Amino acid sequence: MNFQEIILKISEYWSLKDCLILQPYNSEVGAGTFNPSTFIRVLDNAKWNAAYVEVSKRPKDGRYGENPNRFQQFYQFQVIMQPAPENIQELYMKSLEYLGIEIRKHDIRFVEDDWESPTLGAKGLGWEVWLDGMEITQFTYFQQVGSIPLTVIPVEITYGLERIAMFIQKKNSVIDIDWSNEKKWKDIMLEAEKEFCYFNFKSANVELIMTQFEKSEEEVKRLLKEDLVYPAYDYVIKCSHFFNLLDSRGAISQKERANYIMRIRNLSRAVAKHYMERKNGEE
Amino acid sequence: MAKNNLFFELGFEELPVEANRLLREKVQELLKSFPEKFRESDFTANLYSTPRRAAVFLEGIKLESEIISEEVKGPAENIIFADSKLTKAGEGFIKSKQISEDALVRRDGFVYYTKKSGGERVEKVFQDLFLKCIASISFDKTMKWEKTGFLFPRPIRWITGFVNNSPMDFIIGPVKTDTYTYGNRSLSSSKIPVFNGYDYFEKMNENYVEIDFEKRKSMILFEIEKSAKSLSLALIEDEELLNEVSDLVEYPVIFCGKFDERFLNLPKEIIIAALKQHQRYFSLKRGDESLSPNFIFVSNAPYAEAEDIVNNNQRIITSRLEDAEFYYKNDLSHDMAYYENVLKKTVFHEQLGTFYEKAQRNKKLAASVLKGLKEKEGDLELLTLISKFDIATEMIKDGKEFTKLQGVIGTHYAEAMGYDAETADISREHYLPLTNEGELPKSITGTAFSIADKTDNICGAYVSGNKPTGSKDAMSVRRDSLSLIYLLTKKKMNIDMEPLIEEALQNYSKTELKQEIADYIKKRMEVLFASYKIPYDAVRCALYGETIVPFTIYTKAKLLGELKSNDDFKDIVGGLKRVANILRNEKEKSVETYYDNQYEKNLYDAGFDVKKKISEFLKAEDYESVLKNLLSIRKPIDEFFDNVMVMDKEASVKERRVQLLFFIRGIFLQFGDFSKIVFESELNPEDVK
Repeated sequence: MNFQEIILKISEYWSLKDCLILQPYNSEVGAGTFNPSTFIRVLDNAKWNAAYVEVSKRPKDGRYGENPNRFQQFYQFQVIMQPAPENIQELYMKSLEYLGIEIRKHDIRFVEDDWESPTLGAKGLGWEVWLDGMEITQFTYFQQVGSIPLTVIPVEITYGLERIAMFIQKKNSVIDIDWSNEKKWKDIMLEAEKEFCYFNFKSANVELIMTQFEKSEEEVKRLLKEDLVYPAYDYVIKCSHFFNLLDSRGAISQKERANYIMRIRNLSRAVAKHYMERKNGEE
Repeated sequence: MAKNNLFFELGFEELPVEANRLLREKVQELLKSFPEKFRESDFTANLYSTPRRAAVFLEGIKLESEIISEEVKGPAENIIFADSKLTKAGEGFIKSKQISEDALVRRDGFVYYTKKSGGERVEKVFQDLFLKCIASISFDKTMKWEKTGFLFPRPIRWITGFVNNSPMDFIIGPVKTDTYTYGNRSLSSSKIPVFNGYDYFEKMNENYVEIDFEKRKSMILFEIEKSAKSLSLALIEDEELLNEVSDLVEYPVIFCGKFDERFLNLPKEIIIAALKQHQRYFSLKRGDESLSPNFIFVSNAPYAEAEDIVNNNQRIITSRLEDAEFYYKNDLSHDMAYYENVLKKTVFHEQLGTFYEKAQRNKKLAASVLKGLKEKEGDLELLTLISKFDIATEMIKDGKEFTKLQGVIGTHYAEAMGYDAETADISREHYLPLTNEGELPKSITGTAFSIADKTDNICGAYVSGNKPTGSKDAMSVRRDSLSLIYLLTKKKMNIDMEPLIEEALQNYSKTELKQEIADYIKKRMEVLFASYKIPYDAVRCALYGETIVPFTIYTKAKLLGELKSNDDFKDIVGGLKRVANILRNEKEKSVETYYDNQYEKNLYDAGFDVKKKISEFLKAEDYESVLKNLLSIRKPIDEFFDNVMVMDKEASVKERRVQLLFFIRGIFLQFGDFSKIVFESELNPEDVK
């Protein structure tokens, strides 16, 4: 099964399980959780089932394409279901079978790993799922998002698509994955991967990005004053990405780091709070 | 006929290892204390546990507790009845006892009634106990997963229970009992019907679940050792990992893998950490203690195809080790001067400065320690840098899994950079001992830096407002204190912690905290020495005085502890307590040497004599001889108290005797405060802390 078939298959599976199939967000995010289809949707207690591919950018994790498993950009498949179905682990196991993985013949384990995003003020309890020793999925019952404790608990399942492809295709490195039957991952992505590594570590314009961070931070506050929650949240996402870039450029000292994280958390909290207040006002 | 039995299973999504351990501990307590009234003589109770379930099976139980009737005496008749009618109080009484008026018997001016107890059903009692039991567990983290908001470390998904063949009726949070369970996850996710406890065990067997934690553990160990032997290798034992892995699988199946030999160029601690922290693999060693590229892992997959599963696991460990190699090469591309610069920019603690500043404080303290011991200092500047530089390496800074290797990595790197082995070892040694049982530093500089590092940590915690409390100890002051006392005691070092604490605090200009820290350290000594079976009162006695030399305090307290059954000692302590009481409101002045009373004179002479004798022993730190001599004053003290009234009517006589007692007490105080010793007969609860 090639990479694009995996994406089609897994989308089909969750669509059959009554999930909306959405698309990646149009701004740089570190994880599918940042997508407003998760971050904002889980704040109200309404039923919400959605699934989508997310392009996850983690500037610091790049290795110029030389490490088989570490890249500054990879693809996640995100499933968010609120409230969490009782048989969610079973649904998950069946999704692997849907991808042609014979559960019986492999070692699948749920290993404790409580996920937390300090910038999003989000945390939850759950596991990383191991498939023959390889972490292929993060499985989390959110308890708090935007620093707001949740009453209806959603479950988030985040598949690492490249890792699953490596497993299915028995490849030793992400770069060798068959994207389609003709093209490999490296044919499509490697050149950009290397350039972005260079950009993230060595070339990104620190001064510009710092200004962008500051301006975006101000913008969140301004937009909230105008009651524009979604645009404000867009700028929270931008702040987070600018911070990641500054971090990978080594432009942030350890002490400043904590401070930057706190600033972004304050922004995401402000957005979440504003959204909730508006919702509660409408009722 | 089968015995009456009760079976219960709590099914959940994979519980974290530590939470499962706690759950087992508490449920085991419940089984141990299961009420006698429900036990037959052949009662047994067993606990079973896997990552997905906790089950109990009680056999030889009574289905109902016995009904016992007894007559109970009530209030006086005239309170309950007036003119043969119930009074208001009488009505209240029968209501509160839930009896009818007819049930009251009047006799001898009182009312009596029959109280019935017992007849409780075992099922109900078990359920109450079980609910109480899980509510009483203080899990590290709990979660909600549905609308009732019930809290548990992971979602509870099913519960099943039977008394003999009858299904239990029981609700825990959002989950109600049903009559099914689940088998090993890798085989199927369908429900498996259960008919009773015995049936459950068969079903578990058929569905590849070994429900006994200890059995899984011994299966794993047995299979690992067998595999290792077949490769002519030995397991690098790791009890913690073995326990963890036993809690990660329901049915252990062992496989052997191998990583590329080129990685053996990495320090073996790094490889072992990558194998363990990331993948929970067991490392193997060759006959010559060197690390083997073979490793062993435990899967949960009874039908796995070996080739596939091994290949997949090998692929993962390769990428993990490549990552470690990436850090390793990168880190070694820099020199010490580079790391010194990074340390200057790396925060140790917001209020306590950078790691560079921390290292400089350590240096000053280490220099004092070495000076006090009259030892050569060596190249202190270099040792200081080497002790901490690995904090600034990528391996420690970034790689979560390798952080535990701090110190060990520094030593490896320093050696690779060309420093001699002894100098390089300061990085590893200055953290030792890691606990109050751990390996000790061998070199004198390693010891001095360890004392310095821990003392600065402890003082820094107080300075930054992070002093330890009963529930919080963010900066591990407790661990550092115990390790430090252990180090100084075990190495028999004559080091006084009092000036050391003072000096450490001077680095922060916060000397006013000295007393508080000293008191904390003293308390830790009581705790640590108590674990060596030295009674706390002996430690308190030995703690008297300005100096805090742990080894001396240990030595004295140990001798005192051994003396506690000695009659002379008991008697002397009794006498000294009396002395302490008498002197409570008196002031010490100079001692007269003229005594007209024979008992006073005898006591003074004996004291004078002993004082002279022990001064040499004190200098030589021969505390056993000091004690022996002190005990020899028993007789003159006894005789003094038997024949002399201290509180004489005449002021000058009283004063003379008081001052004599000050003199005698002073001699004993050179060893310790004997009035702190407590004998069992005089124990009262507050003394036991």
